Amino acid sequence: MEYQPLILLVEDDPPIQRFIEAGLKSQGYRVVVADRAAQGLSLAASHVPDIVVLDLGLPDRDGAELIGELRSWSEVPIIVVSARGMERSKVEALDSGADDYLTKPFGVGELLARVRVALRHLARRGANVPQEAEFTVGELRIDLNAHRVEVAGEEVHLTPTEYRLVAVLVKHAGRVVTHSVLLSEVWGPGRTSENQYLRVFVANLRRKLEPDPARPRYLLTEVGVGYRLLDE
Amino acid sequence: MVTTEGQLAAERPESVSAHPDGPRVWRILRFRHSGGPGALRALTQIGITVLSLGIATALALFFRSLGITETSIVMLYLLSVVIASVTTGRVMGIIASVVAVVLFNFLFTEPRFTFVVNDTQYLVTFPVMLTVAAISSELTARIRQQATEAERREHQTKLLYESSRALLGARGTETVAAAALHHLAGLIHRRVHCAVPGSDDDPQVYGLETGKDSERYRHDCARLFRAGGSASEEWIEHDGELFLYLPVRSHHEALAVLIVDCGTERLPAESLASLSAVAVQLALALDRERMSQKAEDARVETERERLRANLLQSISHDLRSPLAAITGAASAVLDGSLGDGKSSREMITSIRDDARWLAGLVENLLSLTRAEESTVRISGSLEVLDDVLSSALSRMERIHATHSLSVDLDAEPVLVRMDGGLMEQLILNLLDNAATHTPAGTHVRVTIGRLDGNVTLVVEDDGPGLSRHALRHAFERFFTDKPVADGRRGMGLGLAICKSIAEAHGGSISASNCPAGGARFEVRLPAQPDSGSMPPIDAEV
Repeated sequence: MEYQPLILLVEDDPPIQRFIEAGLKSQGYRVVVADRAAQGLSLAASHVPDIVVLDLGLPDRDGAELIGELRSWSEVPIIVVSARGMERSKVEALDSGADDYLTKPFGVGELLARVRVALRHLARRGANVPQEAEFTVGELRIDLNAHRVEVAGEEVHLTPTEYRLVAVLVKHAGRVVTHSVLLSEVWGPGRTSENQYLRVFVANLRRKLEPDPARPRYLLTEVGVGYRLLDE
Repeated sequence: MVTTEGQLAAERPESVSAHPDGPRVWRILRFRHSGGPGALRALTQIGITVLSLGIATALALFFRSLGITETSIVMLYLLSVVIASVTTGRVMGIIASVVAVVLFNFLFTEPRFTFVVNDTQYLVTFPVMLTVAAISSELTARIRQQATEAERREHQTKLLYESSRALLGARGTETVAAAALHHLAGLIHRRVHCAVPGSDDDPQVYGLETGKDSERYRHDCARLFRAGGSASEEWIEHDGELFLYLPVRSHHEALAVLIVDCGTERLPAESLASLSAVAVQLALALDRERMSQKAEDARVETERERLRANLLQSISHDLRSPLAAITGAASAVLDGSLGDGKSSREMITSIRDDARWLAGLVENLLSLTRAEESTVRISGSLEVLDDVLSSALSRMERIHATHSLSVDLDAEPVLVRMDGGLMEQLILNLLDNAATHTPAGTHVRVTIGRLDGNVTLVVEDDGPGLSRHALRHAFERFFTDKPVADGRRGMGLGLAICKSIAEAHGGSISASNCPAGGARFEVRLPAQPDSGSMPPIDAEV
């Protein structure tokens, strides 16, 4: 029988718990549910899930703190769920080790897309496969060996910094990348204050890669959090 | 009388009232209080005395050659002594008296050009002459001193009056403090600062040139403010310099603290008197300021309460109808009375749409609260407006389904200091407004541009446009132009929230009609000074 990934859901609100669980089970994933942070931690230790879906609004623990603790002994991908307007707590969660996030209210489709991305990254890491040299989404093709970027078959000329930005986004394809991660991976640690340059670079990059930069198809902005390069 | 201009001014404060213009008064005061070049002043006084006696001697010699008697010559010398003491002072007057007697003896009594006296009557003349000269010089000096003192008091009174008038006219704590400091500088000629209680036990200090020492002042003042009504003046020494901390009190609390940098010596009594006079005026002004602030707060609070009540009423009404629709649709599906799968699918779709609408309403209400309490201009981060627009467009499914949409971006990415979430809400509301109030198929156009140092975001459509009534009231809360198709999507909050958000960002929003018809909404936001310029770090290859 094929291995079905195990997902740990930490969520205190029963209706949301029910609908997430149903959505995940519909895809054949196995699900264990915890409604408190403490229970979540012990289930994570006993069941060793493949993915953790964690609500940031738990009554008994601060989300970022919980992630920090989990990260101290596990590399399991963590998808956090939180309400809109809580950008600061999302960024905190991502910077303390979460891999991705979902904003309430969300549909099952969005949830499953995030889970698929997490499973892909997990598979690549588990098999210790080096990153594929070529990344394709829609009409965008990025060849990491040749340092070549094409849109609809036409080569696009990027500055060295723009290229490094693209490379970092490809490495995390499908997942959100926070401003601070991008800054430190592209400009090196210690340059995290030059936030506005990053915004300008991404906006310019979008003008080069997107057919309609005002309505991007590949490089999305997560307002107040970071950027996401779609991979499907 | 031969004097120099500076000397006259320095020694005779009458000229203060004769020339009441500011800079001159200031210069004169500096002259007097800095002590001036003392040696030069003494020299000038000696010069005047010598000159006065010299002229008297020359005239006397001339009169003598005409045969005029010695009695007149004595008078001449007395006159010169009076003149010398009027212009110089008591000490020079006495010296002039003695010199006059000696000169008279040497030059005019027989035998001349000796200090020997033949006639015994001079034993009376000399002492009498000396006494008369001394007494008249003493009297003149005293009158002069009293005049000086009167002038000084008058000047002081005038400055106090001016400061009282300025404090009465000042509005706002900062202006009041600035006025008090300005006038104190003229009155006591010391560096003065004024601390007022700030938030969180951290007083604010006015009148500092730079940030230096401010920590120390704040620390000392915080202690005095904590002491409240029992705070009393303190002399505190820092690094060899003496500071006077004078609490400005009203009733049971300290309203402000005046900090006087006294240098190395304590203040003279007259400066202390001026200081406490200004402190009393300052207390009155600050007290009045606090009263009017309280009244204003109360007014704002009442207004806020009224809006809150309106809001609550209007929300409850607006929540009811979609909730009723959701409940109805859900029970219909559960009953199984709908028969075919198509109808129940329709019901579930309507439940989802209603729930989304409710979620949007909640977002908007949260935005309203945040925009009203927000200090976006300080706390926001620099974001590219294009990014926020594209994020809003991706969430705005409704407008894509029914309207055609085009977007024009500026050639360069536009940076604005903002709260990204609020700005996204503003754009969503404008798009939603266009989608709600124009018929399906209307073209909506979004443009980002720059104008006069501002960033502009324009949302316009080619629909029916706004009525004159709507143009005037569009941004008022609970204003709805006309009932819209589905009867409830017009709570009259969307545009009001846009206005709150634009203003929280230091910007503005306006509504007009396009020349070709159709509504046009323009948001203006302050641009970052260096926005759009390429950062230097891409120079690396």
